[in-house]
Amino acid sequence: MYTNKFLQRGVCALLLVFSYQAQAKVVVSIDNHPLIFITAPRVVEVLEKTDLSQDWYWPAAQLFSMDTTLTQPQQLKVVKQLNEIAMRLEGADKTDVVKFRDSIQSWALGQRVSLSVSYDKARFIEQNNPQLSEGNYLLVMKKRPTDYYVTGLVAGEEALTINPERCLGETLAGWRKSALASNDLVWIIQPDGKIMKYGIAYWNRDCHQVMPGSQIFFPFKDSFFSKDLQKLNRLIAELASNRIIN
Amino acid sequence: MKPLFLPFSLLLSFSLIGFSVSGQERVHSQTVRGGVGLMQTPTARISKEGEIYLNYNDVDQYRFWSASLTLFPWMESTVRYTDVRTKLYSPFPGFSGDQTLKDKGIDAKFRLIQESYYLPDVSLGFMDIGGTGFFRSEYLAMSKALGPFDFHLGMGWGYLGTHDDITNPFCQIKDSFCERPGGFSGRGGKIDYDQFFKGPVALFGGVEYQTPVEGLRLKLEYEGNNYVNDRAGELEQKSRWNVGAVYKWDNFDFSLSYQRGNTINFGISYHFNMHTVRQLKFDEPPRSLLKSQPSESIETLNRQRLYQDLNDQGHFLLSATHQQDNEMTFYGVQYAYRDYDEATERVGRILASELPESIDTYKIVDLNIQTAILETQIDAKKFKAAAKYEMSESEITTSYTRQDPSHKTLENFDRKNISGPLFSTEAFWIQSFGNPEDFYLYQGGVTLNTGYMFNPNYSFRIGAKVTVLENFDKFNFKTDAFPSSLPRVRTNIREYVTRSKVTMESAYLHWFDRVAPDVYAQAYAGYLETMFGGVGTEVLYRPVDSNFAYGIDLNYVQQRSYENDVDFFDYKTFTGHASVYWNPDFLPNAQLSLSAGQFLAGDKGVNIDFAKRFDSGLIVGAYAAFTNVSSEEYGEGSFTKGFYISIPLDLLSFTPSKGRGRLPWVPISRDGGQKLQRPMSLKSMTEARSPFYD
Repeated sequence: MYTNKFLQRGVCALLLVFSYQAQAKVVVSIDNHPLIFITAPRVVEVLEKTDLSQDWYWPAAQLFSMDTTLTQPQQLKVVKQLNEIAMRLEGADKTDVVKFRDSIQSWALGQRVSLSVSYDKARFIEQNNPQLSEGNYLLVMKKRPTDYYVTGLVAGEEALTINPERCLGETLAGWRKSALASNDLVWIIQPDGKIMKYGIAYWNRDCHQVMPGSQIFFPFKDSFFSKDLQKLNRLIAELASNRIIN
Repeated sequence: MKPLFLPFSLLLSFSLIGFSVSGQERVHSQTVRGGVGLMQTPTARISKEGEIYLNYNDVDQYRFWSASLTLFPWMESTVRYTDVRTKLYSPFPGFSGDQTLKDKGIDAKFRLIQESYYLPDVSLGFMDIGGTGFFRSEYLAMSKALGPFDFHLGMGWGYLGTHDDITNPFCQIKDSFCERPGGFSGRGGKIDYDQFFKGPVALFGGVEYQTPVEGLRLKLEYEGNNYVNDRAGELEQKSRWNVGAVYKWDNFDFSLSYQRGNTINFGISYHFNMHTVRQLKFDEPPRSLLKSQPSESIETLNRQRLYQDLNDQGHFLLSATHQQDNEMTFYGVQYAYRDYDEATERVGRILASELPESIDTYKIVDLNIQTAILETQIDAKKFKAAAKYEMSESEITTSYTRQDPSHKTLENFDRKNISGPLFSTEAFWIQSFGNPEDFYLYQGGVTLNTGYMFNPNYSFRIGAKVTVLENFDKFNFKTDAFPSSLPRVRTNIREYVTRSKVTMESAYLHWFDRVAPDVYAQAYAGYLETMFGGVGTEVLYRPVDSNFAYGIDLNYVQQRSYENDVDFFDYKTFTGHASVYWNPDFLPNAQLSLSAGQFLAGDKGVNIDFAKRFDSGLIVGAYAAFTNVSSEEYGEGSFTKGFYISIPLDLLSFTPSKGRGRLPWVPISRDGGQKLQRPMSLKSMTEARSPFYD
C-alpha cells in the first residue's frame, strides 16, 4: 500500500474509503484525497499515514462516518421545526429564525464516531483503537484552533477569536443576538462532541475556559408552558456535534 | 401599625410565572443548624444533588451537630442533634447525671422556582418538623445572584418569625392562623401540621459576597428570631444583624461569625458528593482479547485453567458447568464486582479467550444458596466483536441479555452433590445517640455464622454475637419506667444486648427454592432473631428488571427470654405482611416499599420505606410505621421511624468487593410498628434480578 504524509497545511482532512473488492490504489493529498484500505484498518494504522511530526491538537481531532442515514433526517427535522416557528413570527424575529434555518441547511454533516482521536491513545488504549467498519470516513485534524464558531440566534455565523485575557462570558453577554435567544446561557459543543451549558448572564456568569475550536450556540429562550423549545435546542446541539468544520 | 404582607404577595406571584434553565453551579455554605443558608437563617439555595455536609457549630449556649443532604436537585433534608449547654437533660441525676439537654430535629427544604434572568430561586422550607420543636419554623425564601454577590430575602413563621415584623398573610384569610399553638402533639415525634404558618411572621435575609480571595466568602444577615423564648432561656439580642465569613479549603468549610451583637460562633463542615465519591482500586484491567488463543475444540479446552481464572480474575466462584452442542452454562456466585456490567464483561472476556469458536452462546447463572437467581445469555460472536473493538463504535452491553433462568438451565444444573458446612463472619456496630447516661452509647463486635447445608434447599444455621467493644455498662436502667399498654416486644432491648459478651443470636432450619418462574419462597423455624423465635414463611414474585416486586410473609413467634439463650417468655403472636416494592420511573434511582400487616405487638398498619441510591452506590433511606396504635399508647416518639445509610464496602476497600454495611439512625423506637427481623429476606437474596442494593 502506498503511503504519503501531509506537510504544510494546519488542517489535514483525509477521506478514507475502503472496499473489500477494489484493488489498492491510494493517492493522498490535502483535502478530499482518499486513502484506500483493502482490509478494515484500526485507527492507529490510519493515523500512521498522517504527518505525525506536526503539532496536532488532538482534543479537536474528529472522525466522521460519511453515512448520513441518521443525521440527515435530524437536519430535516430541525429545519422543519424552524420553518414552523418562523411562520408564526414577524419582522426581525422571523428574519433571525429564517437566517438560522438557512445556515443549518448549509451545514456539512457526518456521523461523528464517538472516539477520542489521538495517536498516543490509539497505540496504548484498546478502546481508542477500534477497527473501522466498512464505509466512507472523514478524519479532521487541526493545529490548536484560534477561534470559536458562533452560531444560533445571532446576526450571522462567525468565528470568534479566542482571547485568553478576557472572560468568554463577558464577551458573549454583549454579543448581538436575537430577541428570541436566551439571556442566560449558551450551549458549548466541543470538538470532541461533548455538549454543555455555559452561563452568560449577570447571575450565572463564570470565567472558566472553553475548549478551542468549540461551537457556541445561542439557543432559544425556554418557555414555561411548553418543553418544545428545550427539546429543539437539544436537537440542534446534537446536530452541531455532527457538523464538519474544516 | 405593622406593614401589610406586600412582600409575601410578590413572592406568591413569582411562583405562578414560571422558571427557566439553570446556569453555572454556585458554591454554598451551611447555617449553624445545618442546611444551605447564611448563619441563623436559611436561603432559597440548594446544593447540587448528592452533596452531603457534616457540620459542627458552637454558638455559646448551643452546639449543633448536623448532616444535610441534597436528595434531589429540588429537595434538601437535614438531621440534627442540639446540645443546650445551659440546661440539664433531666432534673434527676440518677437518670441522666449532669448531661446537658439534647434534642434532635429534622428539616426539609423544597425549591419551587429555579433562578433565571428575571426570577430568583424560591424555596419553601420546614425546620424542626416532628420532635419537640425547639426551633420549629416554616419559611419562604428567595435568592438572586449578581456577579459575586448573592442576595437573600425570606419570611418566616415560628422560631424564624418571633420578631413579628409583618402581619401573617394567612391571618387575613382565617383567624386560626393569627395565633401559633405551643408545645407538641402526641408524645413528640409527630409532624404538627396544625402549627404550620401560624402566628407571628418576621422578615429575614442578607447577602453573601465571594471575595477575590479564592475560597473566602463574607456574609451579612438580618435575622427574624428575637431570642425571647429560646430553649436555652431568654437570650440577649443587641442586634438583628449578624456578620460572618466562611473559608473553603478542599472539602472543608471553616466559618466564624458574630451574632446578635454579642456572640461568637465558629463552625466546621465537611462535605462530599454521594454521586461522585470513589475509592482507588488496585485491580487488573479486564482481559484483552486481541491476542487471545481460544482452544480449538471443547475437548482440548483447559478446564482447570478456565475455572481457576474465573475465580482469580473474574471473582466468579463456580459451582457447576454444563455444555451441550454450541452452548455452555456456568453456575456460580460473583463475589467481588458489584457492578453487573463490569462483572459480566470481565467473566465474558475470560470465557471468550478460552472457549472454542464452536461455542457461540455463553450463559452465566448467578446463584444464591445454590438456587438460580438470574441468567445472563451472551451472544459470543457479538461479544467478541465488541470486546475486540472490531467496530468503530462498540457497545458490549448489547451483546448480552438478562433473563429469568430458563427451564432448561434449571434442569441442567446438577445440584445433587452440593452439601457441607457453612461459615461466614460479619462485623456489627450498634450505636445510640441522645441517651440519658451519655450522649453516645455503642457496642461493636463480630457475628460468627456457621451451619450445615444438607442439600441445595435445606440448611441449618447458627449465628453467635461476640461483643468486643462497648460502653453499654453505663446503662442506669434496663427497661424504662414509662407505662406501656403494648406488649414490650422491643423496649427490653437493653436487657438483651447486655446479658453476655457472647450470645446466640439465631439458630434455625432453613428452606429456600425457586418455586415457579419469577417466584421464590423460603421457610424457617427456630430462634430467628435476638428477641423472637418461631416459624415463618415468605413468598416473593420478582420478575427480572421489573419496577415492581410483590411479597408476603407469615410468621408465628414467641418472645425469647433475655435471661439465657434458649428459653422463651410467654408472649406469642402472629406477625406478617404483604409487601410491594416499587422503583418508580418518575423518580430514578429511588425505591418505595410498602408493607401492610400485623406487627409484633399485635398492632396493624403499614410500614413505608423510601430509599434513594446515588451513583457511587451509597443509599440513604427513611422509614415509618403507621398503625392502629395511638401516639399516647405508643409512648415517646409517637410512632416508629428511622433513617439509614447503606454503604457499599467497595467504597472502603482498595480491591473490588460486594457486601454492604448499614448504619441506622432511629430517633426513638418503642413497641408499636415493630417488624420481626427475619433471618433471611427474599428481597435481599434475589437482588441480582433488579439491582438496587447492587
